[in-house]
Amino acid sequence: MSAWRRASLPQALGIVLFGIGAGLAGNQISPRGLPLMAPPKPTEQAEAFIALDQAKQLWHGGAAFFLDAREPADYAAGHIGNALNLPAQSFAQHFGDLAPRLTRASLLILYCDGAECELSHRLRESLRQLGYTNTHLLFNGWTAWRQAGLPTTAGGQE
Amino acid sequence: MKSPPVGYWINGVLRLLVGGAFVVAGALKIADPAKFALDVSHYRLVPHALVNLVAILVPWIEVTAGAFVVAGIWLRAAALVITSLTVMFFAVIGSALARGLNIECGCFGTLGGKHVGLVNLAIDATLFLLAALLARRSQDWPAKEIFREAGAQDSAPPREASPKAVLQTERGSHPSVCGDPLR
Repeated sequence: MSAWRRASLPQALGIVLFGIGAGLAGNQISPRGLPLMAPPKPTEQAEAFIALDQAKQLWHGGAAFFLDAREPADYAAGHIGNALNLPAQSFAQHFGDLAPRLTRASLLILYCDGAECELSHRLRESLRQLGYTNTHLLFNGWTAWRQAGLPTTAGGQE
Repeated sequence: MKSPPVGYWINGVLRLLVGGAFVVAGALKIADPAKFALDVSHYRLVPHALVNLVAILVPWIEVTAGAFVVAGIWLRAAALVITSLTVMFFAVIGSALARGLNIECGCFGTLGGKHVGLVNLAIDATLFLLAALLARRSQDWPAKEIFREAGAQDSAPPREASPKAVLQTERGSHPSVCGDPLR
């Protein structure tokens, strides 16, 4: 093994260690820094979720607002019929458009897509901070609704 | 002073492509660490408690290795780090696809599609090949030696051997120089 090759491994290790050091330092001074160890995952109470059948009844009765927490492009590709788009990732930017339609007593059904999707959870928290506490999560919302053959629509929000 | 050989410029382009891609990818993640931590957690490969640590460290290792490659410092070692990272990313993305996870890649922002897919694998494989090529080529064309060689040819009488042959001869007789292309 040449001297150059021998030198590469310690140098590679040095680069990784430098990156680790920079990461720890950068995280320490960054205003967007994270705690090194993630805090325990908040678990939603069972009552936070609403069953698909119950959501269906509310939808047919027009008794609840359905809020799609996904990005506008995903919403435009297809969403629960009559659902409004309130992207969790740009909540502040979009909430003003919807606020006139909602009251703090409104029953809100929040959904996104996929069992791992946390957008609806984030949206619920954002709404809770503004006093909108009558919210429920529809687990795996878009996929579950679509697979059940319930009414859907495509297109952007008016 | 003569221009460096063509191989040097090829290396330069490779360095900009590979190193630049990693600097940009890392910087995008550093700009929003909470979002990247969420993306990491969606892969369900890292214990929850360690998700933040991974989200903090990986982007900085990417940026560091990318910057070293662009700057041509410890080039082979930095290219090897990037090669290792691309192998790791390939395994991670591949496992997500194999498990049918409908999640965001968290690779280059939204480049290659919003959700993880074959495009991400293809980008990663391309970067792997380029980084491996760079690691291989950096043995042949270390920047400092090329310039030193070009400068030496400018001032010294012409030699019969090709620059590459002279370079290899010099390496053989001065292993310490070859051991660190920056010296």
